[in-house]
Amino acid sequence: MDLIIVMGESRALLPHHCEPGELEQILPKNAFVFTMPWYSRTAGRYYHNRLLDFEEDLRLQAAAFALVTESSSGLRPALIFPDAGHDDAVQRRLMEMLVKIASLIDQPLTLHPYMISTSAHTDIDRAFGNENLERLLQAGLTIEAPIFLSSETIAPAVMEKVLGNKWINDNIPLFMSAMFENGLLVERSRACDLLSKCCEMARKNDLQLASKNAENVIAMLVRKQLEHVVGLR
Amino acid sequence: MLDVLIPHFNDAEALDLSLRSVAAQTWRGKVRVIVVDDGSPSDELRRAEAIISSCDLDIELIKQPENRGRPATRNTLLSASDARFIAWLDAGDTWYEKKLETQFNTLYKQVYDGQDLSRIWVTCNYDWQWVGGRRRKVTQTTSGDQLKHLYVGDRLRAYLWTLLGTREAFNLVSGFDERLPRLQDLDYFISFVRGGGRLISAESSDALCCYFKSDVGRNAQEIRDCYETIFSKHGPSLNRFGVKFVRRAKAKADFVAARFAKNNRTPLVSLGFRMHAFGMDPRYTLYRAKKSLRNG
Amino acid sequence: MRQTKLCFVIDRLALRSGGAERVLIETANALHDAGYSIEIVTHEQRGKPPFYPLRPGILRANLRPANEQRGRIRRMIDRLRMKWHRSEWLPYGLRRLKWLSMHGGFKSRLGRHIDATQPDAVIAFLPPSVTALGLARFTHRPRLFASLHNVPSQDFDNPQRWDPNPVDRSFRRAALDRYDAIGILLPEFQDWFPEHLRARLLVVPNAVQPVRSDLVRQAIRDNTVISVGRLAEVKQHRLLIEAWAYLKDDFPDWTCKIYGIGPMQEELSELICKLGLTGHVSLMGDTREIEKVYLSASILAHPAKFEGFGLVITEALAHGVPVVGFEDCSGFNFIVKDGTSGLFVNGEGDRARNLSKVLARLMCDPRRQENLRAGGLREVERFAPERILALWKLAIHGPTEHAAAKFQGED
Repeated sequence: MDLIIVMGESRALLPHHCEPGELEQILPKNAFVFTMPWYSRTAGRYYHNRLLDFEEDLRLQAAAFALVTESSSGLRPALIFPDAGHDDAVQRRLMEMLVKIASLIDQPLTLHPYMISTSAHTDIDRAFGNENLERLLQAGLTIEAPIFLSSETIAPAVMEKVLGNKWINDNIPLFMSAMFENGLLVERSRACDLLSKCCEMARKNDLQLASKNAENVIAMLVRKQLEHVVGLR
Repeated sequence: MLDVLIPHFNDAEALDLSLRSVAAQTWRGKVRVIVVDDGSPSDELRRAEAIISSCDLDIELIKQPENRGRPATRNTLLSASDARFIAWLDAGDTWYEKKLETQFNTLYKQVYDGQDLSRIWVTCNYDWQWVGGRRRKVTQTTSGDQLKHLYVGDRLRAYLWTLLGTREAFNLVSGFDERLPRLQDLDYFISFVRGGGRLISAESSDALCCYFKSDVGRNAQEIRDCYETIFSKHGPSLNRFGVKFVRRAKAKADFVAARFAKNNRTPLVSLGFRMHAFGMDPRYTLYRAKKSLRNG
Repeated sequence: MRQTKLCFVIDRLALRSGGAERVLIETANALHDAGYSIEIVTHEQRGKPPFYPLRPGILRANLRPANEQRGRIRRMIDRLRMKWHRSEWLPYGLRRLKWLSMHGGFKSRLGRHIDATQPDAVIAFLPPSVTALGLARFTHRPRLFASLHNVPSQDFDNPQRWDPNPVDRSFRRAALDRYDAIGILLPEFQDWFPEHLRARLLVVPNAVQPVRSDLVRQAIRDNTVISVGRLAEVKQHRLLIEAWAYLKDDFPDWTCKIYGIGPMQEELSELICKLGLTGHVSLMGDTREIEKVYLSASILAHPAKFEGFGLVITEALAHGVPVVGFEDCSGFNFIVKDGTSGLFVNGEGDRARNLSKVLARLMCDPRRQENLRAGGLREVERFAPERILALWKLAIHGPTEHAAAKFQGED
């Protein structure tokens, strides 16, 4: 089985508004994002991290079974572990999980690592560093050369979304604290929704939100929310 | 990986309809369709072959030189399959595009819950479309005593084309009883549940397939005889529900036969079945009579 | 797809832990795994599951209607009938009626069930179901196989066994005529059968489940002689206790442990006290960890008078335990080869003394124990499940059909 492992900046990959279909656009044609509706109603590509806690129940057994079944026509399932690019603990667990998957399936496992980043690509070497690599090779896995996808190689429309996600994720704390200062409590997921709407609006107007001076946009957004709450709009 | 088993007899157009619905599935895994032609006349067989060769799916056609009936054809299909998973479809009925995807996710959930897949069939809700009538959703209820529900046939119906499961699960018990020209799937379902198998509902309340229903041209007495064979074959498991239940199940079988007779324009035969039902379970017969008067 | 439909018939199975019940379930499981479709038919009051685990996919059908499904008057009549069945009141003119009252229901329901299910072969286990199937009326023509699990004279001649009604005894014998084949456990049982039935006899020994070879190899054996079996007269545990009285002084570091429960428990316990063997010979009762017992024992003493087969003997050999028993004990002398997998004791004269002598010879010779252990493991391969399964296929298909099935690759 060929398995794609997507790593990258969590800021670029994590927020909830980049659909699996959009991500699939930057992966090879025969790749698909492996979703797990059987695990929970909301589980999809953003929750592959949960597979790392595989000792808790039979999630990995079910995932391995589903991976083999879904990829039987030759397609390559993709699993996304945003933090595996920079977090040592996550990397270690990822390697353990891959070894376990290899032991659960009755066919050879080939890994295709992908790194999606908006900046330099040093992390991928860390994620599949010598020690980890050896462990995987010992377990009989084949590892293809890692592929680095940066802002230059990714289609502009998708990259725009990836950058938008990064902007949202960077500014969630700022937005939450600004709302709080104005007497409004907002949960992280709701904050994410509101910022993503803002992002969407910018995109529709052919604008891009810059990472600098974001506080001005945030301040305006907070004011709009306040007006909405007090019934002015 | 998945074999879709389709029996075909003398209706290439219906086969085409079913194959299109298989081709439109959103499920990504490897699919092979096995069609067993049950001795169709040569011109209709040629038409079916043309449809198969123009279809993008991986299809294997097995030709039975003579017409052996539905149960024997289904047994041929079951023997021909060597895939890990099996789903059934009858030529003329259709799946909606999410059927396999939803049912496979239900199977994965079973693995996650630690269930043994060799004892599980995944069924689903379906639309029931009378020829010339309106489409109505029918819900398959898998909670409660499945054997009891199968005998009654109201909450859980034995329709093979709703199912997905592993090949081991479909071989848990013996295949289709060739003595049963009709209702061989009911017999198969009952044996499966008696053998420790369990039906699971797909995790979607939507209908996932459509059954085009017609009673025309079907022999009502043949249907009633098949019920009788099933009742005596599984007698010990039926009798444990009590005399009243057995009488109710038999009266219901009479009403099914009566419906077939009525739809085939033999009202006297239909009346005969209703009389028999009255002898079996007068209270139920009166309830049905009241209900049909109310519905006009 | 499962092609061949088999119907196993046994009158009672619920919660029963006997040898025949175990063989039935192990055989049904093995045949199910081999691709047969199986239904087990019983005729019993309790609706409880079998003691031994049954594979999913094997159907069970209890033909006897549940009491609660019957009307009040019917239940009252049933209670009176039960009382009569349990009593020994058997006037000459009512023998046939009593037989019908006791067994008629099973016979007629079984006939109807066979016609309704139309199996390819019906296999009756133990005399009550052999009789019912042999006398049942059905128009379907399956192959009929009777599987007997005891010494035939015990099953067919002993008035104390099964139904003491002489009508039942005569029916039991007559029913055999209808069978296409009759399975017996040991070749020597052939002699009991009348000439016209001998051609239909087939020796189908019990299968022995293999034990992991590393477990047997690594087992640490104590200086223990064990005996396993019901504490009943036929098992002759008394002889072993008496023999130990001769051994206890010469072998103070050896102990004798007797596993099993039964009617003679108290009597044997008294005998142990009387002979001053407390601490040397122990009655251990029932155990659920018999495997551990076999793996830690050095010798199995099997002083039984006769055996229908002797499942204990094959189990001991499979666990690497040599067996000592009497040369005239059926079952023992079929399974064990003298000097290869165990030692034979002379049945003439003082049997206890003879047993003690042979045991002493083996207890003081660890090398011999080791040789017999290796020999036993080789011998027991005769009863490997796949070999016994092949015999069952022969029983089911008959010699001609079996060969044809093999040729077509059904096997």
